[in-house]
Amino acid sequence: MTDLRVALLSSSTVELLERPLTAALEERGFTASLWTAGFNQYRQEILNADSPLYRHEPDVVVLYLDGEDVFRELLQNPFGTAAARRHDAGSNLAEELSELVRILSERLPRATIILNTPPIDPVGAVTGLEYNSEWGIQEAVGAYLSRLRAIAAESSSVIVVDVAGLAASIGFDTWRDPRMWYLARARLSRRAMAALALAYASAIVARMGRIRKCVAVDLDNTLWGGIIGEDGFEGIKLGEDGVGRAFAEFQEELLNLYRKGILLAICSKNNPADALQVIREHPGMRLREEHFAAVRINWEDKASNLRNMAEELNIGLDSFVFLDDNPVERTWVRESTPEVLVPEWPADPVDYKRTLLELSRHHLQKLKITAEDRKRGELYKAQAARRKLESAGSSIEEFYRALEMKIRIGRADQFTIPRVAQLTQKTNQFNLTTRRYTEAEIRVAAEDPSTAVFWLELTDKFGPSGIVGVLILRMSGLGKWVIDTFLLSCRVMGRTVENAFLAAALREVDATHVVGEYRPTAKNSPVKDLYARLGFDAADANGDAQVWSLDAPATRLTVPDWFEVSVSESAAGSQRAQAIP
Amino acid sequence: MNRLPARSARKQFRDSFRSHFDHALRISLPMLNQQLVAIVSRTLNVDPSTVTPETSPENTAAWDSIGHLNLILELEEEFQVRFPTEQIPQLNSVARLQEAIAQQSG
Repeated sequence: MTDLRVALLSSSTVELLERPLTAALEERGFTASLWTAGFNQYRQEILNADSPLYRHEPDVVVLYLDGEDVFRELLQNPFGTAAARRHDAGSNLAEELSELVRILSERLPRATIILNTPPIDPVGAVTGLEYNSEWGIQEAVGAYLSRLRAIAAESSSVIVVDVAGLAASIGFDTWRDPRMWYLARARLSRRAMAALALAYASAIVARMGRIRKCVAVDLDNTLWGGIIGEDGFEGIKLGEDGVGRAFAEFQEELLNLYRKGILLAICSKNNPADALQVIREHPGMRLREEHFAAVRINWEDKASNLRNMAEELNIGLDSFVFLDDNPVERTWVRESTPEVLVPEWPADPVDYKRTLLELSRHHLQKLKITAEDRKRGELYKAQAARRKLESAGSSIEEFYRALEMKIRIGRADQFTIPRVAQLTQKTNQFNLTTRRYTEAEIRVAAEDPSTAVFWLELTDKFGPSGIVGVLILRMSGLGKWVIDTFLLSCRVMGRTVENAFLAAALREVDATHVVGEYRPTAKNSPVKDLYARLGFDAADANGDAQVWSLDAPATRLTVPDWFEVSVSESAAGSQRAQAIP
Repeated sequence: MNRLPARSARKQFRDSFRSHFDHALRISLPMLNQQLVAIVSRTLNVDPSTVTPETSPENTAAWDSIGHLNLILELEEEFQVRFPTEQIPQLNSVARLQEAIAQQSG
């Protein structure tokens, strides 16, 4: 469980959201400490620098603005605002919000600020007039929304939750409970609050990078209709017509997950030759072999296969979602590998796509797509090729040389900050301190002249891996540095990249003395002895943490000669420019 | 949490309530419905053994105005009832809640 300080602010009474939000966050691994502002107090709380909001020191600020509050004047009397002024009215409302967000993020540079699209009752005084006369209100709403989008684009601290869309999916009649308005100046029904709490919790999980990484699917009656071993290549249902189309569209949604950087895998009890023929040749298939990072088509039990793939892909079992139409398999996997998320699966294939989308909303949600996300599937494929090479080579050094590795290091800048933050949030195994940082926090560190935030990019003969390492150094004295964060993506573990990274970065900052720390977690035991291996001397323990130090790293740490190292000058230059006002 | 389906909960409530009123004397403090007690206890963070018909905002710390609405919404969900707006503020004791649920369920 992770502690999370949350501030709730709203244009209406929002205390009733506390219980469902706390419960939803708890379900996702967060112990929330909540502070809630009174009815419509959000402006005062944000503007007053000494307000309880700032004293609460929130990690997350949820500012819920209801459509009926934001557009109150327009909704109360749509005929009182001249048609020509509606667009401006919407922009002005968003402009005020933009100013509040600016103040918030200035005073809470590390906090995530959650805004929302404002839900508005689709039934109103302008129904009929909306698109047929000049009296509509949607023009004002549109202007507000386009400014809202800009606010989120301008600041990496801000995320927007589409609450208007959520209200539409529940149905507006269910969304509202008018009794709450007259009794307590609250807007939402119990069901709406439960759904909103879940949406906020899912956005926070996405923001913290705690989503699942891989969807493993069964084949028969999951990716296609029927059983390939019985119905044969011609007999399975998959394609343009009838229920076959539902399977094709379900595959298309899986393909969209792949495009967003979620790994796909196959876990099926089948004759491999039959199943692979469908995957390679069937005209109805939307997914092909290249989209799957790992494939297990055999008669082994599925929990063992999943364990096996977790090892192959070097991700935890708790990163997996497993989809199977067969309730017996689901129960088996749930019981044998409880870390794997195994959702209940609908009996009717026409519901597959929607079930996947619902699941994605909560467990596979992305708020941004990085360059690494776009090609993650391919990266994992290349990984398999590397493994083959490793087992072919006669010595480990030969393997390293055969990889033809090139590394490039640089300082975090506006282009690399999102990926650096993402890595701190999701790297578990090769992570010495497991400090999780948001983009805003990385930005603060990158602009701090006494802190150096390095990223590492790796390319080898199988192609680029992108940014796969982060090293954050904090200066503790002249030439003296403390390693705040040192992590590598699990994809590049076991290739001595850490030696090269640390040696090259310490050379960049002219370090004469460096202190490192190992903070044990449930998952980072692979790096327990890293500093000893790199020649550091053991110093005192600091609570749970083991502290290590190294004098004269320039002479005692070297880049292994199978690496080609370069330093990204442009990033270093812009970093220096930022550091000197 | 082991929750009964709403409809059967409602029926069970009605039956237990009726048995008290139809067969016993019209006593002023009927036996408390255990499901109601459980919800009061859960929503207001009090020990179920301390919940009595007289449990009210006066003697229960968490039963403030927001606690009241939380409790009302929980009960409505659990018993599949809906209280009219003006009745809600008047339901300020466990006895009154029980009576109102019984009326709605009947």
